[in-house]
Amino acid sequence: MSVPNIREILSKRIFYIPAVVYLIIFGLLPFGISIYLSAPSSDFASYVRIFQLTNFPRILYNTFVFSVGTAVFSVVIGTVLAILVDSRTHAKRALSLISYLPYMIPFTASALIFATLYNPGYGPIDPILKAIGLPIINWLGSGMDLYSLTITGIWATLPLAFLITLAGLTSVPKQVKEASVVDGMGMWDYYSSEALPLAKGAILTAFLMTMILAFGDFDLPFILGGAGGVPPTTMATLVTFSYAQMFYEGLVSQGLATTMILALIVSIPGLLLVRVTLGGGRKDGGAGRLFHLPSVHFPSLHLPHLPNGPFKYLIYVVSALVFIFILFPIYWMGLLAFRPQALDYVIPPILLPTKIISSIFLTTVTQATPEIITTTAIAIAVTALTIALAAPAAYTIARQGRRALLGIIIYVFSIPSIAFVFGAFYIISRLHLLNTWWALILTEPLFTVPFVIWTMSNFYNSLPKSYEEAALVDGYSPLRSFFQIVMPLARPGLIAAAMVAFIFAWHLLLFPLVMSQTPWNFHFPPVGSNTVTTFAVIFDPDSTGGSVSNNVWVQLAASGIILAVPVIVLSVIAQSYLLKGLYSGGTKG
Amino acid sequence: MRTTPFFSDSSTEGSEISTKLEGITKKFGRLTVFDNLNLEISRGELFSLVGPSGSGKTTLLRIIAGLEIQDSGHVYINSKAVDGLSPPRRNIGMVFQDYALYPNKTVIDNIMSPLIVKNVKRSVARKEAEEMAERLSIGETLARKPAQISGGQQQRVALARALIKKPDVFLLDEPFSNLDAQLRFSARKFLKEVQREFGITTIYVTHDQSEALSISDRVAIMGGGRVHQVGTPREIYEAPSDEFVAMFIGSPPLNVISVQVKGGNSTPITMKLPGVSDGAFRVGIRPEGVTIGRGNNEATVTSLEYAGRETIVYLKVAETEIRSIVFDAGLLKVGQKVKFDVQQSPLVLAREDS
Ligand SMILES: Nc1ncnc2c1ncn2[C@@H]1O[C@H](COP(=O)(O)OP(=O)(O)O)[C@@H](O)[C@H]1O
Ligand SMILES: [Mg+2]
Repeated sequence: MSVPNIREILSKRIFYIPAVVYLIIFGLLPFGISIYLSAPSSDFASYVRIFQLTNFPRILYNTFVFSVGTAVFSVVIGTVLAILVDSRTHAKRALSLISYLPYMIPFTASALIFATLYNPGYGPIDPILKAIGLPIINWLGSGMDLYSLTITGIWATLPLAFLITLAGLTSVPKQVKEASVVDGMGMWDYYSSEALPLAKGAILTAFLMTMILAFGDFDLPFILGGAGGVPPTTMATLVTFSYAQMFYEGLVSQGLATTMILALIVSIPGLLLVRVTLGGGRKDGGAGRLFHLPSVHFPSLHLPHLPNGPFKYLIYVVSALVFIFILFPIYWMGLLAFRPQALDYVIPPILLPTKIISSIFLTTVTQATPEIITTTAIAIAVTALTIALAAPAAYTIARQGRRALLGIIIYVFSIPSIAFVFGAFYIISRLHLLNTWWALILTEPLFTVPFVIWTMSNFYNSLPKSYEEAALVDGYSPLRSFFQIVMPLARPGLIAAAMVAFIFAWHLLLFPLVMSQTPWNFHFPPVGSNTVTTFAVIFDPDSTGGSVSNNVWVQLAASGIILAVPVIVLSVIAQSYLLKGLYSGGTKG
Repeated sequence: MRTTPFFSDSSTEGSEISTKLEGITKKFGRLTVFDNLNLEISRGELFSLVGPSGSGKTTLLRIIAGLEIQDSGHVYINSKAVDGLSPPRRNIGMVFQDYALYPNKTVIDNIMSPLIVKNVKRSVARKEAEEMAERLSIGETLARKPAQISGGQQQRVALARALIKKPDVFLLDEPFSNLDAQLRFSARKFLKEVQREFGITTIYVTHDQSEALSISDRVAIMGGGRVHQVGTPREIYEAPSDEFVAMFIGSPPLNVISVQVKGGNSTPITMKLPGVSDGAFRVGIRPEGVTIGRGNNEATVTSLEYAGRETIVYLKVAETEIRSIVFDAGLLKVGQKVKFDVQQSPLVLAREDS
């Protein structure tokens, strides 16, 4: 009587099998290769050797200072800004736009700009310090460089912490907020006793995400460490250290062993993130959407009492200082990109726009044309592949409640890209695809697919089920219902996810750096897969070699702007799509 | 309105039962929604499932539809067991509480969609959908999207989409709860007319007892994991099977009080209790059965609730408070002493002293 409908069962699995197969081939396999090659003679000699290196403790220390420091300060500053935006009734949009501006600047561009800011002599910070009577700091000197790196990390990740915390604060039920107004609660009373405790889960998520990001970050320490060769021990992290070992020093197994140690370390915040996101056995699953985060139960915050009025001004003053911190590097990037080169190298540095030209910027755009085309094409292909793999998988996870699968996906997301890069490089070179567009199109979805599965599964969770049930009753097959009913409904979410995937792919530096050698040759099939990120980093017209800061600043800033502009445009569009939300009508008359 | 039968009954000739639920048990984790529930719904009737929120009405409807699987028991539609059949193979039509109209499709595409997925030719499906829309008076909305039509029209589109596949059973889950009070009245009447015209077996879920009484041929009162009573609205109203039903039906609710009967006289309120022996009882008195002005009882007016056409008067007799409905309360005042009479025979619900 009960006919097991094989087609139905199969068509349900079909939704996530492609994504899982992809992640096995381009995630698990490279990871496995990396493990294997880290100990090729099946002893652990390479691991032992690492711990015997005299500078290894220092590199571990650097990694922790950079990651934990970045996470702590990003979350503290992000929370202050989130409180500012949440508490205001006017200018909310403008304030949050400023707060997430650095989010729109790719890490590569941020690092390049900070490299010029930190420049001894020509950098603009010294004269400012001098003017307010503070001592001059040798930012990239051996005592300071680790902290300079961390400051850059904070600048780059605080928007993420801000966005997640703000999502937590704004998810406080409206009635709670109104009740607090009626009760005459002041700002500190409200945030300390209502909003922050309710947003604890979001704040913890923000902390874990920024920490995971910093642990695995390649771009900032690589570029600030000189973008090539062996980074100075005073600021090398496990990521840049292992990269140098693998790709400069020919110590492959030792470098891979380092990435495995890193992966093991990151597993701690990674697994915590999985736990926080899956939220201790709740059935609705995956509440940890990036845009609405869970409230997790852990011991309540005991905050000391602060007077409401001063608290408000404290928030305003701190926010104002943070805004200067956020805006100045962006201003500086614009200034450098659009002024004659001669104005860059004078002492004392010129901080105000005196002469604006666009010719160098336009020349740089022309020079970067093959890279711009390559990056655009690859990012579009990666986006398409990501959506095709991730959207159905996310749907299955949301609807069939596959929490274990979601947990694995989030965990994969937290593993640093450096742990995959050698294995992926190995696979791509075996396929003879190095320095082709395919190399990046095939490997980059490893980073976008998990993230999109994660966020899209939350999106599907928020879609009312009744449409699919109506479709089921009407006789739609699961596949047909997915393509004809669910996909059109999910369009706003899909568009946002697609933009996020595009931005990710546009950002990436490590994989192109390893897999590409030359700019596109303007032929098909395309050979030469340098991207805008690699262009910006290795761009060195005078062949002065060595560190990035020796590059011509105007071109550095120009390539930074080229990198940032598409991301800014897409972020703004994605934001408006997210705000538009779901279709109205159809349900709830 | 046309009266040509829309649904052919050939496949099910001879059977009077349309849908039968046999020994249905359903649990969600530790929560038992029903335990061994039985129901029979006759062909062509409008049958309501009514009960307080959380009593499992939606769950039961979804079990009939196949959207939820029972833990044990069987569902029969037209004498055929449908357990294990997926929803589309049960040939049911369903109107969801939120309508679930496909927001990206036009009205006509929404109505056609069950036929399209059955690979009916587009032109044929279109013609049938247009006819159906005409019958439900939504012909002029066909090119629009659901968001561009009114709540009442959305609701008709949902009816049309469910009816177009000529279902054996038509399931509706609180279809009018999103309409405002005005529209709700006309929508109810409309549903009743459509149901009559199409002669379709309809199972209707609502938590609103007055709605259920006004449109149904028969009603099942659900609560506490079981069916308390099944009957026509009149049977339910006049002869509730237990205190739960008695309290649930009628607005304002029944007065349930304890009385002592001795030698044909009852205290604290005097009323006719034919055929009741001596003892203590729980009895139910309809508010409209309590008439103020004259009678054997005396009480104090404790509160007045003006409700437009009528006024609800709260009376206190000794320690007992009862409600009465009065259509002209112009002279009554709180604190006033009045005489009253219990005119209808009260319902004896339970004996208390045994
Ligand atoms: N999918 C589910 N999981 C767990 N509990 C459920 C689920 N669906 C319904 N319930 C519970 O079953 C009970 C009956 O729900 P429902 O059928 O929706 O009642 P009604 O429609 O009468 O209001 C409620 O207590 C509800 O919380
Ligand atoms: Mg319900």
